[in-house]
Amino acid sequence: MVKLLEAVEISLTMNSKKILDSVNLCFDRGINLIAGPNGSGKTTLLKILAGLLRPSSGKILLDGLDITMKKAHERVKLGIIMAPERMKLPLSLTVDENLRFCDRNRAYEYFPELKKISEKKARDLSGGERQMVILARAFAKNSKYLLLDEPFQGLHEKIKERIIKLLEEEGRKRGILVVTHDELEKIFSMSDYICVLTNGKLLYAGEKEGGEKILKKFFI
Amino acid sequence: MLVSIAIRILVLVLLILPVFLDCYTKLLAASALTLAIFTVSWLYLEKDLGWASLGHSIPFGVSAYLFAINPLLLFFSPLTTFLLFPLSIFGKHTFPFASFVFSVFLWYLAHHIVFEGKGGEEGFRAPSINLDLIYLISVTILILSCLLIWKISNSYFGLKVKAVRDDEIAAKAIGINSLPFKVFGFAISCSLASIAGILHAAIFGHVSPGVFSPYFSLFPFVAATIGQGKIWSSILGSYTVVFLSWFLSPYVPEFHYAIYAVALILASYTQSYARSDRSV
Repeated sequence: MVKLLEAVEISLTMNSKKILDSVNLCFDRGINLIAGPNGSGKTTLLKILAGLLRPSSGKILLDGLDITMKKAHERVKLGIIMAPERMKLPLSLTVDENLRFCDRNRAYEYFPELKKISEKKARDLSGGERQMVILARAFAKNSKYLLLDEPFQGLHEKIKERIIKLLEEEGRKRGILVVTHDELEKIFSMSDYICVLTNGKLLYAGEKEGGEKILKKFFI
Repeated sequence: MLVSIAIRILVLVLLILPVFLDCYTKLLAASALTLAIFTVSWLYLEKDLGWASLGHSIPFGVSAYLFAINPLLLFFSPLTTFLLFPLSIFGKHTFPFASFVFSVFLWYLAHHIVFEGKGGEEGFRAPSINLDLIYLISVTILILSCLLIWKISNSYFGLKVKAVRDDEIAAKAIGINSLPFKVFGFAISCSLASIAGILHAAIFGHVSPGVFSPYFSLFPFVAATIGQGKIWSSILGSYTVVFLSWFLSPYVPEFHYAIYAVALILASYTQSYARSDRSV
């Protein structure tokens, strides 16, 4: 069976430092957790999958189709959407303007609190509010794959709970790749597929049961 | 709000008043008007796209030269985009310097352009058009330029342009291909600067290498600094530079350089306008 999204022998070298070393991964529908200590290459891997970085070697396949040379905006059209961490937002646009790049009504359904601040400029939002806009935009855009980098960063506990529920629902419809340090236990318990990276190398990739020991030993 | 309305009324008065004044004042006003179009073109590139050009005299001067050599060549003036756009390869921080250096190079080069025995330091004669007619055309173009920029800026397309300006990686992550938006933005700005250059040549009936000089390269930046980056105020800024230089140059020769110096000092204080919102 052809997996939805595959990383084949992905390596990345920057300033003669190996960031990723021959990583092989296959992602399918459901929640896919990418775990590992800081600096292990998790975010880099997501950026390569989203087309924001080009690997030094290796291939990215979507439904068997080689998309390695496709740029980020082309991958969005193919259904791979990334919600980047660290508040990556066009800051001079209002919340409402930012949500015009997705299905606005759906975005407001997911996060009704954004309606109250819809006319606020992104630069005037708090970290948590910005994160909500990024997530609302990512969830409210039809995609095959959703790549979430630290989705819980700066969010209130209640919102975190809602996102966990949202992940559960959306995971049935599409593939979701999550890189997170927050709420790791909860995400782990609902994940269908786990991969663990250390120093740019793949330590484990497979079913949750097999990865539990490794993950608990090192991170949880 | 009141200040904003007052500025708009003042600009409208400045546009209408010269129609009733003597020929010389009208010529001066027409010159200020073309430079106001030039400033608006610069402001679009700087505010909506985030590229501050200090060599905007490139499209301005090249188009003026093309028009003077052969008026039919004016249709090629939008192609001046491809003189300025490649400089964006240097990145946003180096672009002002790179564009300024290129404009100075063209200034030097223009002294050596000779065509059918004309040109060189003296420049070329350009087709002269009736001053009343050219004034009317200039007013119309200035108003249309402002409307065009306002329309683009407030459209879905304009949103994408601003998203690219704010954060190119964030824009890519939401599926925006930045290159066509950058090229389009440069094309709009360079086309307006080209029109300003052509009008400038038509008003004076002459083009000299001076159109590439730092006076023209820095003019829109100075006018926009005086106008704090707002369209109407920057139009007023253009008039201020032209008329103040004219009034005071008999007493202080080359007075515009004093205005430029003050504007450069003020720029560091008014830099925040680059991040403020467009207010038309």
